[in-house]
Amino acid sequence: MMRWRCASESDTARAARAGAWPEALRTHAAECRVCRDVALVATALDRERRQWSADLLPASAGHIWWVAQLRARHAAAERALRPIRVMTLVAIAASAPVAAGALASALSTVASWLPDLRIVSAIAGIGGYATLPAVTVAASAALAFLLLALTGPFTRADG
Amino acid sequence: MHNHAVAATIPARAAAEECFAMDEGEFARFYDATVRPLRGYLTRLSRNVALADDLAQEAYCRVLTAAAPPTDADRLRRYLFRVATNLYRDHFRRARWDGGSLDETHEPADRDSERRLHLRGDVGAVLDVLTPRQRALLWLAYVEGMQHREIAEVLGLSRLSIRPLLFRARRRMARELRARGFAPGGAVDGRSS
Repeated sequence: MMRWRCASESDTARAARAGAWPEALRTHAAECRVCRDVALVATALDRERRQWSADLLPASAGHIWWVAQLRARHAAAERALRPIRVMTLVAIAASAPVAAGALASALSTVASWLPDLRIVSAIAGIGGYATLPAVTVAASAALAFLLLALTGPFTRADG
Repeated sequence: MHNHAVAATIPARAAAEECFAMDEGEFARFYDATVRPLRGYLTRLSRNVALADDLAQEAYCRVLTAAAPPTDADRLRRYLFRVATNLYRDHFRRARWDGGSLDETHEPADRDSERRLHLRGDVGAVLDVLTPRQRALLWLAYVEGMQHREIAEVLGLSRLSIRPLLFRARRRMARELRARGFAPGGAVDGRSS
């Protein structure tokens, strides 16, 4: 059965990283398959690390700090705006029935004018009696959408 | 009302003091002590220098803005590596982190940095053969010198699974190194000088 571990494994890895081999450990590692692999891999990786750490040019801590500050400011702004957004949505939700009632009232008023408008339309030659309510509803909906868009819920949080 | 308009009215220092667990001087010391090891780890893990830079920067930002990062230096260091590992994992979530065939684990890397890595010699080529998780395990164990418990913490694995995983990764890398004639100068490999 293949051995998975050796008691000297950690010592071997440390020796390989340090490049300093006590004689007893060197003798053991030459005979132990686990430690032989550990020594080989740890030495190769340490060589790789040395090559890379020599020419790394990391960004400055100040730059990272600045980026994190920007994020913190935006997060703070988001927190500050959250109640305003919530209240806007509540206000819109609360005023929706009132707006619907007002719209219905306006439509009924317009409907009461229709006989007169029919006369005007007939005079103007456009025959608009049948299409007038649909135009009114469409215009009201567009106005409502525009108001909602301007008041916030449809604008993106990140501008 | 737009976010950036409100953000401009908030003093940067106040936002940082409110949100960051360390001041600028502490962060500079922490950064200086960890940036090279972290970038070395991420570069080996991702085989992509540009990506490693991006992930490292993002990891530091996440640590800075974390709600309650560890206060102990060693734990904070491991926390940083864990955040970076998770960022890498998220980035390549569709590239099968857990391994498989070589083609399956070959993440898209920018050609320049990949060429640079290969020019480093056989060790880079051998690492390319391993899965990302094997690279991470070996790097944390033999370069960072982490204990199994610490590796498990960084990689989000169970402590008991580390030993067999590390064993298989080590055996595979050793086999590849020997196949390429890698000779650890002054070391103990029976076949080396």
